[in-house]
Amino acid sequence: MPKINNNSFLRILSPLVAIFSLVAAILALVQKNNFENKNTVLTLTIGIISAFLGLLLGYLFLKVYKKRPLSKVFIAHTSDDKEQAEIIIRNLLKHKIKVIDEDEITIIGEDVTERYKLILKDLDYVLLLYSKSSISDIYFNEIAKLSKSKKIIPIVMDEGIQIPQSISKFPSFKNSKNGIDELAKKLVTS
Amino acid sequence: MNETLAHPYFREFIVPLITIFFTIAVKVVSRKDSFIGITRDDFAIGFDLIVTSIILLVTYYSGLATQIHNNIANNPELCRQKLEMFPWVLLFSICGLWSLSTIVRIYGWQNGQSKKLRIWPGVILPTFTGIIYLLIVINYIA
Repeated sequence: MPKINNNSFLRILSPLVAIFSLVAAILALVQKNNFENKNTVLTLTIGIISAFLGLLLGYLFLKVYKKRPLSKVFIAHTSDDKEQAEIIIRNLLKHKIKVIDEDEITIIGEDVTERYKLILKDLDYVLLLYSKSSISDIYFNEIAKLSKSKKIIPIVMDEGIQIPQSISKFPSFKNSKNGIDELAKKLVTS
Repeated sequence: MNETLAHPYFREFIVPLITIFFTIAVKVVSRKDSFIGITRDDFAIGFDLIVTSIILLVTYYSGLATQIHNNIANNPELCRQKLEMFPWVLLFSICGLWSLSTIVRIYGWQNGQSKKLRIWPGVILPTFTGIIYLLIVINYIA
C-alpha cells in the first residue's frame, strides 16, 4: 500500500474542509436569519465597501505610523559583543534605521554566509564590530570579505584594536554614545 | 447618541470599518520596533476577524439562552430555532477557521528561506473570507 504523506493529505483536505465548513456556517446563519426581509445584496455590498474603506484607512495609518526606513544596515558581531551590538541597534532604531542583526539570519545547522549573500543586495551599509574576539574570528572575517561590494562602517569596540588594512580605508566610529549618535546622523543624512 | 447607534448604517457600515481599521492599527502599534515599513503581514487580518466573529456569535447565543431560561424572550420559538443551530454553526466555523489556517501554513508562505506571505493564498484569501464572515455575523446578531 502506498504511503500517504501527511502534508500531501492536508494539501488536498484543508481547502475542501475550509470551503465546506465556511459555506455551511454561512448558510446556517443566513437561513435562520431574516435576510429575506432585507435587501441582502445591498447590505453585504455596503459592508464590503466599508471593509475596503477600513483597509484603506489602515493603510494610511501604516503610512503615517511606520515610515520607510531611511537606511538598511547589517550588523556583524561575535557572540561576545552581543550586548554591545544590541545597544547600538537600539540607538540606530531611534533614528528610523532598519538594522538586521546577525542573529536574525542565523539558523542552526545552516551556513550563515550563504544566507548573508541572499540579503546582501538589499543592504545599504554593513557595520562591522571590531573587538578582541571578532578580529580573529573566521566567520566574522568571512562576512567582512563578502561585504566588500557594500559601504562598510567599522566600529572599534576595544581600545588598541588594529583594523585589517583592507578595512582601515573606511572611516571608522568608536563604540561610545557620541560615536553611535554621530554614525546615526551620518546614515540619516547620507 | 442612541439615534446614531440605532441607525442601520452604523451596524452595516461603521462597525465593519472600525473593526478592520482597529485590527490593523493595533497589530501595527504592538509590533517590534525593528520592523520598520509596511509588510504583507499587516494586512493579513482574516483570522483575527473570524475569531472575533466566533466570539460575537457565542456571546449572542449565550444571550439567547439566558432570555429563554428567564422567560423574557420576545419570540421564544424563534430563539429556540436559532439555538438549535448553535452547535452546528460553532462546529463549522471552527473547522473552517482551522482549515483556513492550514491552507495559509501550506500554501500561504513563499518558498525557501523567505519569511514573506504570498499575496493571494497568504493575505487576500483569509482577509476576504474574514471580512465576509464578519459581515454575515454582524447582520445575523443584529
